[in-house]
Amino acid sequence: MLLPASVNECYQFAMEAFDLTEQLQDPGIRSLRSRYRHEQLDVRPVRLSRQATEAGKVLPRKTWTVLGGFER
Amino acid sequence: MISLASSLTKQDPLLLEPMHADRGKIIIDGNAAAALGAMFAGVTVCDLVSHYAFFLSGRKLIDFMKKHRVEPDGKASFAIVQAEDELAAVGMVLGAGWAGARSMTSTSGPGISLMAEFAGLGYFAETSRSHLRISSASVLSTGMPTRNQCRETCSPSPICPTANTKHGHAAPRFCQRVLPVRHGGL
Repeated sequence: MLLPASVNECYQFAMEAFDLTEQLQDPGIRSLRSRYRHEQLDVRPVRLSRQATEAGKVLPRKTWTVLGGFER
Repeated sequence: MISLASSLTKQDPLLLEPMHADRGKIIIDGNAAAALGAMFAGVTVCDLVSHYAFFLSGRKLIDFMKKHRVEPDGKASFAIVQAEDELAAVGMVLGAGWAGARSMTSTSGPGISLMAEFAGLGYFAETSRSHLRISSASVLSTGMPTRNQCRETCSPSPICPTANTKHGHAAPRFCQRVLPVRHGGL
């Protein structure tokens, strides 16, 4: 469950959500607040990264190390 | 009038000048930002229940996809499906995710409670999909008079908090540890 706190994070977490749901094989939820959902805000544009999307179902070793395992 | 204005002399110390505080920035709302992120993340199936206010995000997604995700021969590389209700929407999203497509739907707090059955199925079937959940200004869709947005997040059942559908098991217990790892990926 991703809770973006700004318009920038709305964009960033949208990409993160798909990677996480595939890697963890779990449903993902992005929960947007109506405050920044409707408001037109001036934000700095983010730079697209080639590594932004990590399609696949493999958790990187770094994440596994931090998680310490997988448990349902 | 012109002669009168030219005859006035400035006596106050105030001075106005442009701030350029918006230099290098774009003006965008959260709906469009989320739709852009979903499109660049490679979403191919989006199921919508279009009679809701949160359809605005899906509407923006449709506009972006029509502009950027159409093949040179004119064929769309995406599918926007109008669902009859929330259960049908999340069911189609679940099926698309099962087939390997990156799929999503949008709903509200009470709407995600209507997706409770397939939310549990998706968890146990280990099917990836993504919801775009738009929280209203209140827990019970009554608007600002009962404004308390934080309660949706802090509910004991974070995935279906607004009604009596308790699917707390569907929220991964380690999500709070995952986020700091992936945060800042862009």
